[in-house]
Amino acid sequence: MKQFIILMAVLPVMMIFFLQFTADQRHGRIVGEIQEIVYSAKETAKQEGYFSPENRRRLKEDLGRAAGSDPEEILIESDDRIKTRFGVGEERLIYFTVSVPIRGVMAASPILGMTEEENCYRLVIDSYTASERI
Amino acid sequence: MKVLIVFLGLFVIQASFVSYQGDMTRYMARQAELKFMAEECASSAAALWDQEAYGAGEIRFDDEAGREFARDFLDYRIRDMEGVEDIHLNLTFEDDYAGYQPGSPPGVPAVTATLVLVCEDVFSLPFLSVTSIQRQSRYEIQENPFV
Repeated sequence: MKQFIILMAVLPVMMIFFLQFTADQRHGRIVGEIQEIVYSAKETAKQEGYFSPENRRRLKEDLGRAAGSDPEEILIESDDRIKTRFGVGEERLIYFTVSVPIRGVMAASPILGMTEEENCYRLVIDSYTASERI
Repeated sequence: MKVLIVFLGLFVIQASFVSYQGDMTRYMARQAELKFMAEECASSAAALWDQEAYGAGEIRFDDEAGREFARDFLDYRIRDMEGVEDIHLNLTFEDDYAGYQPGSPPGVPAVTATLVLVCEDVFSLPFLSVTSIQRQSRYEIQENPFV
């Protein structure tokens, strides 16, 4: 009986670890996918000279699907002006900032006393690229 | 007592594994990021041509402008990166003027960017240590616009 009681106490602690393994794998996959999607959108922006409305819409949809978030929660900041390859200095550069909320980083957060807001962070990619638009 | 020892053993193993998995995720993300940065350095430097040579119908990279762009880009990217101590850049330009590396296809102008990121130990576990990450990217101009 004593062994059973100990098992009952230990099992939930051990289960949290197993759930965390899965949460970490999911988290790693999401981060990798976000990087790939942003890279792909950046390459499109490079050719078009800016982040076009169509590119932004597709980026939000793809990121929302990858991160399991509402596309409206994804923030994309970039200049609307078209930059060209032969622009001088900043006129050649397309700055962009993409911010994606990632939830469920910690498994079994209610047991650990974490709220949903505390168990969430924003992955921010802040970079720029040189336009190739002629 | 026996149960406690077994529990503590399992706890330490599982905690180590969770730590390893989290660090590995970060390591892989940083590798990918570095690869994308190397691609940007190579492709953007390869788009900067010497204007006079271009006017004469030849492709000659403006290596000084290319290096300046890559350096500024890297400074911008690493400013918010956690645990980064330094980043080393090596840009190799190959064109008819600078010549071609052995093994490179002759007549195909290219820029190769090699980045070495020096950082704090990526892994928290004492028996694993990674303090530098290297990634390389090459951008080739396959189609000569003057031909």
